[in-house]
Formats: sequence, C-alpha cells, structure tokens
Amino acid sequence: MAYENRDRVKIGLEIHVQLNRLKTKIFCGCTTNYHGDPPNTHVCPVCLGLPGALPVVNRRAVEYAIRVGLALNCGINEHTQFYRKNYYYPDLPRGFQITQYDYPIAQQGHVTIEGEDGEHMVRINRAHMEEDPGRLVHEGTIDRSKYTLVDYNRSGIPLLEIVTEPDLRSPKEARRFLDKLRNILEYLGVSDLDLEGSVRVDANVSIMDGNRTEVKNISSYKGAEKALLYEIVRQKNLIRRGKTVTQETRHFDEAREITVSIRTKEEAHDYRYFPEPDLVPLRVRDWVAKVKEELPELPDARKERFMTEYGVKAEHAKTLTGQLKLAQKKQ
Amino acid sequence: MSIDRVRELVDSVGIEEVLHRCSERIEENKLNTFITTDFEGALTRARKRDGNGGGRLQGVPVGVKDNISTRGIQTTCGSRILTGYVPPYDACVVERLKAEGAVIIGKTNMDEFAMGTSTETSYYGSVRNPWGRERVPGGSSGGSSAAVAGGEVPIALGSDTGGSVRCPASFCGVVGLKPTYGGVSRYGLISYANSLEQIGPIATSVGDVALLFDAIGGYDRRDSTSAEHEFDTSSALDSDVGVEGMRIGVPDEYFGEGTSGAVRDSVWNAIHTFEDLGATYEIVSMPHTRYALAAYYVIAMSEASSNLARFDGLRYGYRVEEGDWHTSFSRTRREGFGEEVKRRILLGTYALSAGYHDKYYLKALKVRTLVKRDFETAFKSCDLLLAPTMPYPAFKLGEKIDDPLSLYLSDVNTVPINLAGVPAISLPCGFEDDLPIGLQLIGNFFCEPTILRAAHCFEQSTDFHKRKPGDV
Repeated sequence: MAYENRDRVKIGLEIHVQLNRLKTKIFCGCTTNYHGDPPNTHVCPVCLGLPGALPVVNRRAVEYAIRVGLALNCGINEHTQFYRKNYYYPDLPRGFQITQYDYPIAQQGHVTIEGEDGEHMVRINRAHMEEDPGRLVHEGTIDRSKYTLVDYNRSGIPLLEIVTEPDLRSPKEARRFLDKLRNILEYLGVSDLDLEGSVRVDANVSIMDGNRTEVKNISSYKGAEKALLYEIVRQKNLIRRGKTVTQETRHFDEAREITVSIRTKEEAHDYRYFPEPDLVPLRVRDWVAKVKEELPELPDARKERFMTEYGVKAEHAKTLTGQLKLAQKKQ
Repeated sequence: MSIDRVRELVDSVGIEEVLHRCSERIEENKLNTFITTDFEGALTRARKRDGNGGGRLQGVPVGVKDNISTRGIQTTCGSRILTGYVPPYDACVVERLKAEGAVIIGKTNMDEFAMGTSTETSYYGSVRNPWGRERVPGGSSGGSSAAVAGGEVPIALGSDTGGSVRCPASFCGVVGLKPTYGGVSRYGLISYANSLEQIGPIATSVGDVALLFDAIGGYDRRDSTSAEHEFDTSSALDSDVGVEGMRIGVPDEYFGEGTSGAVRDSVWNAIHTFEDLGATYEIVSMPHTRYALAAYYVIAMSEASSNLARFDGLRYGYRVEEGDWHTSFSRTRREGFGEEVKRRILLGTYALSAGYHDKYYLKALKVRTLVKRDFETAFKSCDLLLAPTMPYPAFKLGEKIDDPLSLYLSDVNTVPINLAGVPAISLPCGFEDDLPIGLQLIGNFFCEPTILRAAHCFEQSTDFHKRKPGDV
C-alpha cells in the first residue's frame, strides 16, 4: 500500500562527513588525528591561513570523495573545481572557506532505503569537498562565557558534504537514510563516524508545500529524528492556527530538544562564491577508473550475495550486512 | 652596482664591510626604501654560510619586497594591519635566495598590499625617486626599485600584479622582469590578486635580472599554479645568438593619447636600434587593449576583497581590543587598512555580490579571455612585442594620489600582460628632463629567454643603463 504522507512532509538533508580515515588534512600535511590533543598543536601556515601560505589538494581526499560519489550512484564530474565561500567567523582563519560550488566532485546519484511503504529511492543532488573550520571553545556555556578560544586543530580536516533532494517523507525515513549512509561509509572505509564531530546534519523541512526551514546543528543520528519530529509539529501547529511558516534558519537545541530561529531569509548571507584562484581545476577522469576498481563490495550487493550464495533469509542478510564487523565475520 | 662587482667586493673587503656600506648608503640616501632592515641578522646568516658557499649569489645583499614572507623578519605589506607580524616561515623564493648564498638585508617599502602605482599608499611613508627626490619611484615595488637604483643593494625582489615591478623599474631607470604566470612560486607571497601576480627580479642590468630569475624561478609543489618548468635564462644571454631575424610586433594601442612625446620618441629609437641589430618589426593591433584596464581592476579588486578578509586582528598583526569579536575586528580593519585598500575591498566586494557578480566579475573574466587571444594572435607572427612600459616618466609626489582614476590609467600598458599571464621586462631606453624612460619587451608564455636575450642585446648597444641617478 502506498504511503499517504498526509501532511506532505518534505525533508532534504545536508550531511557533513569528516573523511577522517585520511592521514592528512585536505590542503596541507597536518595530521587529521587531533582528537584529545592540546589545542593548536596540529597546525601549520596553510591551515592557520597565515599570509602567503597556499593550499595544495590532498590527492587521497579526492579519491575518497570519488569513492563515496560512486557508492551513492553519482556521476563524477570530469573537471572539478574549488571555490571560495566568503564569510567572517573566528573559526575560519582565511575569512573564507575553500569549498566547491559549480562542478562539485559528484552529482545526481541515488540511494535506496526501506521507506514507509517498502523500497524508496532518495535522490542525491550532489557531494562536494570542503575544509572543516576550526573549533570555538567557550568558557562555561555559550551564552554566559566571557571569552571564546579558537582551536585550529580541526581547521582543514577534509569534509564531504552530501546533499539529498527533498525525497524523505518522515523523520523515520530520514533516520533510515542516515543509517544507510553510515553503513555505506563504513564499508568504504573513508570515515570513522564514532569520532566526536565526524558527522553533522542540516535538515530542510517543509509541510503542505509551505515555506521550508533549515535546521542546523544536528550532531547525531538520533538527534536528527528528534529535531525533525519537533520541527514538523511546530510547523503543523503554525498552520493549524492559520499562520504561515517563515523561511528561516533554525538551530537545534540538543539539550531541550527544540529548534530556535537564528536568522530569516532577509538576513541570509551573500557568500560571494568565486573560483579559488590558488587551486587549478582538477581533471579526475583517469582517477575514476582506478577508484572504481578498488571499490569494495557495498552493503546492498553483499546482502544479495549472502542471500543467493549462502541461502540466508532477506531479514537475516540485512542484519548481517547492516554492520561491517558482522558482515566480515560471516564472510 | 652589479652582482659580479659585489661578489668581488665580498672577496676583497669581506661581507661585514659590504653590509656596512649598504647600511651607510641607505642612511645617506634617505629615500625611505626599507620598512625593516636587519643587518645584524644578515651578518649572522652570512657568517654561518661562510665557507660552504658555492651559490650563484654568495654574499650578495638583497632587498625583499615587504609582501614576501621572511622567517623571523617583520613582514607588513606596507600596512598598519600587519605591524609586528613576524612570519614563522620563509617564502619559496626566500628559501631559494638563501640556498644561493644571498644575504637578505631587509624588507622594502611598497604601496599598501601592493595597491598603487607610486608607493604613496604605504603606511610607512612615501619612497623618493633617486632621479628626483620630489618624484615618485613608481609602484608598488617602489622601495625595491629605488633601493637598486640608489645603489643600496645590487638586486631586489618585487611583485607584479598589474605592473608593480615594471612601473617602478621604468621610473627608477633599472631593469625589472614580470615572469610568466606560474614561472615563480607564489608560496609566501601575500596575495593581492592571486590569478594575476608574480614575484619578479629587479637589478641594474639584464644579466643580473636573468641570474636572479634563474635562482628564484622553477617548479614548487607548494604552489598549485606553479608550472613544471625550469629556467636557464642566463645561458641564453651567454650565447652568441643575437636578435638577428627576430620579428618584433609593435602594438599600436600601447601608444595611446596620454603617451608623452619623449616616451614615444625613445621607444621608436629603440625599435630602430633593434632594426640595426638585424631584427624586423611590424605594427600589430591588439583591439581588446582598451578594455583591459577595466577588466583588470574588477578582477584584482574582487580577489583582493577575499584575500584581505583574513586580517581580523585575531591571530597576528594590529588589533583593536574593544567589545565583542564583531566590534573588535571591524575596528581593527577600519584602523588597520588605508584609504586605497578599503576602496578596493569595497569595490571588489560589490563586484562579487549576488546580482552584480555576472555583470562585473564574470564579464571581466570574459574580457580577460579576449585580451589573452590578442596576445595569442600577435605571437603567431611575432617573437616578441615592444611598447613603452609607462606612458610618461615619474610624476611628482602628491601629483596624482588624490585622483585614483588617473593613477589607475597609468597602468594601461602593463595590466594586459598580467591578464594574459605572459612575461615582460622593462629596461631603460631614454630620458625626459633627466628622468628615465622604460622600454617594455613582452614575450610569449615561458619565453623569458627570448625577451631577456633581446633586452640584453639592446643594453649592450646602448648607454642608457650606464647613467647614474643625480639625486643620491
């Protein structure tokens, strides 16, 4: 039976994944293994954005990004380019973030999940590479601290931002999608998602074809479901009372499990994107074939194989392949 | 003074004495060429290297433009916002200079963030021209050029985003090269407009420029725009090959309305000198030249608006500590940047903004492609192009500084070269009222050997480079 989706819930996700299985940062030779180390100990002129220092693209990071792109059934752009996203924030040492805009590494893919009414296809809009900013450390709590310190150890950690189309129809589907993504990333060996800060989710939500809101600061998969549940109820209540939903960016307060407005459309940033002149466009065509060859068997394929080769029931095959460790044992 | 002469001096009187003479000269000249000098450090470094030297620049004092990162020596870009900033690392070119035995004696004065044509926008005061103290030395590498012209150092490094090496070389009667884009590593060069600029050598002769260029040029993996190309221009000068049969293009558009009569005459005399040496010339047309200036300023300012965003007082340099972060960083930038820098950040921000991006930035990029095509077409029939570097000799201090547009216009013959990315050299070819006039030779990509050889032949058969400035 087809899923009704009475409130016409539409959810699109933007997932930032740290490619933290890489040894070095995306534009310099500093280590990605900074967890637990004293602040500002894994930094150099490049990731500190010192005047005159220039970025150089980590080739392995590009290969990892291609790997994820292929696993998400995306097309890989033959020419890919980095852009500058200009905005001021103390965690951003250059005053701009090096990211991708036009010509991202991967575009137009899809992932199949177990949806509300059986198999459901979620389209992937794009996956693009970028650098993680530093980390702000507040004394005490954010609203009461007298000062803020900046730790640039995280500055330059390779990130992949994966953007879906608004194809998710419920918080549960969002959760399923994230689980599936986690599973794929685990198989690919590109990211250790158990590390703190290794995944961050922003969600775009609308109901009944109304305005959408963007919910930021979701730092766990469980949080994603909670944030979405809250946000949908909030929007429903507004509409029930005859009000319209404002297009705005909202912050998920994890402790209180609510979302709060941080800026409206009128206050939206103008990031003044333009091609990063310090990095030449990359021609990746020759890499794709190589990465394809090295691509491991992915969860869906392995599930199929367990069923046909070992006669495992679908349900069991799913459980077995749902975690890489279990799947390897069965092997 | 030549590199050879200085090396002889180092051998005869010793490095300490040579450095002492440099220091004395700077003090006597009072041209305000250096923002920071470091003779003590220079001597220590030079002594450390004593005995294991075999470098091509062993013991040769050098001035480095203050937008090039030097470990342990303050690097300000001529701006208040970088006062007190001491970089923890050396630029690629500085490493290479040191490897060749050169002794960095200090950092030369410049227009703030290289934004200027007269070195009058420096927070550390204007530089005077050794040919006339009331004249500007050109810019933005005015400190480097005036120091070389004034005999303070035999060689210096500048940077050229839209003419910043060639303009002051022209105004100060010395030789300056803007290399092919990607020819010299920009690692450590504090960006003004990344897609346009190159570090370039300045010296009193073509031979010395070639030697300095060979020392700093070539591939560097830390700069992604660096070309995998090694240069050996010095040996191109040593060979017996002259300019016999060389085809010179003279672009009509480079002799525009504002060109002074004396500049026109001197450059035409130079053309005839080349004819006498066996070269041929033809008038060529580069129709998009008239749009180059506008496109250049849009692109340069756009890139600058982003490049200069990092100066917020948080990590280094000048800082106003007041209020929260927003207040602190905006006051830091308000006080730390000068007028011209703010003007360019504002205009660049505007050009990149939503709604204006296509109209200005994107359009400028399209013009850039057309300008580049002009050069491609010209180089199909010519080995090099010849034109005045600047439309006129050095103007007076204060004469143009309050009229930015007139200052921008004086870059008309230098900026197309940066848009195209090709190399060009400026060398003396005459005088007007005892002020030097510069001749510009423009080559195809990576054809530094061609333009240096032509420049060398011209220098050998003329006396302009032998005349010494009168006001030092």
